[in-house]
Amino acid sequence: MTVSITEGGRRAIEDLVFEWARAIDEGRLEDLAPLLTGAGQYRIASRFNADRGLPLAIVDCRSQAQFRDRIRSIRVANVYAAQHYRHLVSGIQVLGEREGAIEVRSSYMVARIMEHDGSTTLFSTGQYRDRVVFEDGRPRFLSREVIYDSRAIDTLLAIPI
Amino acid sequence: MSADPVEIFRQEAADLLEALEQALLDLERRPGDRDLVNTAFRALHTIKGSGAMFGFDDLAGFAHEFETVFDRVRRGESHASPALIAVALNAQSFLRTQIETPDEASPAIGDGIRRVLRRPLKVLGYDTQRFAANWKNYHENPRDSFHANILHTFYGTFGLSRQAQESAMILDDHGRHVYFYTKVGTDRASADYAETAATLRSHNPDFRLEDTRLLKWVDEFGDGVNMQILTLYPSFVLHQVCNSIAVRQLVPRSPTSSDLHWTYLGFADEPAGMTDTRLFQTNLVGSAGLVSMEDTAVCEMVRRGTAGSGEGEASFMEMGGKDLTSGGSTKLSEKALRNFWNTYRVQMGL
Repeated sequence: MTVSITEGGRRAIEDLVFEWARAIDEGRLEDLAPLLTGAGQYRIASRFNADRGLPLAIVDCRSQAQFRDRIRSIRVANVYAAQHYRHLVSGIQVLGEREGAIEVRSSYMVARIMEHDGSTTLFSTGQYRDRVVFEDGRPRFLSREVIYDSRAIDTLLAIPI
Repeated sequence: MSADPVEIFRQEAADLLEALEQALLDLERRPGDRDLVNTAFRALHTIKGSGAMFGFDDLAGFAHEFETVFDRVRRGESHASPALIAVALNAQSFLRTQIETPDEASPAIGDGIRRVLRRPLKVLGYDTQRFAANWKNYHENPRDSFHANILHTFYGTFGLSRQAQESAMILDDHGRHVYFYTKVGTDRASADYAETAATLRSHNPDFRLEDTRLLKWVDEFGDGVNMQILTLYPSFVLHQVCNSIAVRQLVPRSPTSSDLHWTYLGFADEPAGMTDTRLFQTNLVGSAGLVSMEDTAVCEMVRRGTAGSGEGEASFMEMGGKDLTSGGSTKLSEKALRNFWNTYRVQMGL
């Protein structure tokens, strides 16, 4: 770690990570895009592929606008059973600065609750690999990569993780 | 005893295919076993040779490409990975159905495979969707070409496709294999188009992507086809959606659970930029695909809807008839579904 990050900066980064999860759990999907920078990237890739050096990501948004397009699509175009998530995020580690962004890691568990039968299942576990930058004193994701642990997705992944 | 040479070939090929299947299953457990690789190669080599001799040219051509793969494994240029064995088992099953029940539509289906898989491939990654439905529920999907515009509304919503586009659905005589494709830029200025489109839930002319890079694709095969969904009975799909290329394997887990394994592909010799375009367009397909994520969800809904409320109960929706030919020849027909179920029931002796 070459640059020390202030206690306040660390708190702000933790808040950013928690706000992402809470916005999803509360159904405020439109509040997510502003947490990315304009050119911010959001990817979801399996550990199975990552471990083998395979480049595939099942979600690969390469700008804040693309992320907004995806949210709009799952709101108006895509068909899936009504559902919501509950995130548990823990182990947030601020690793330090590299190439102009702060590297952050955390773990998540996401339960998925289906409205049609009330079932709650453990939908996904994995790691967030974030690169965070401060813009106007506020932290934003320059990139947010979700590496999910299981190679299989139950039915589909509509709502982001 | 039959002296019909074609019958003799069928019998010989059936034995060879059985040996091939056993070799492939053993290779799954012992991927480094050279004897097994040689057994697979020799079986395919003989099928190719005698197939060509008895006039089964398409079959011989397919066996030749299949054989080439095992020749590469034999030479140590490639290895017998689980993915390769899985595809080989599908190809083996395809060869068997071609020998047992050859038919006229198959050459077109073979053309659909060769249209896309024309150069050495590389794997870009895997994706699995696990869904709570019977594997046959998934087969109804590609056989209903009209479903795309009702269900997959991303197309219509973002102007990627219109119902009036040129498209074709080619089936074999037994409703087993389906070759579906659409071409872009062939919208007909039909008088009732605007009216029809307006009634489709998916149509919204004000709806545009903010970042349209996702829809930019290269007509790499030079025929204007922006989507091909080729389904081989019982368990294989080859898709080209814009520049995304993948094979899907449908694996039953139980009567009410199935896996759909996606293997995403690029060509081994392509520039990095082309590979990147394919990776980017994965956004459209697979578990989280903006175009196709709902396929598995709909299989689950259909299964819940048809299961009935009590033990042994089931429901059925009659649309265009109950026999194999009624329902007309337009895209608005579920005739292909009836043929599929009939073939399955005949094969299973139901």
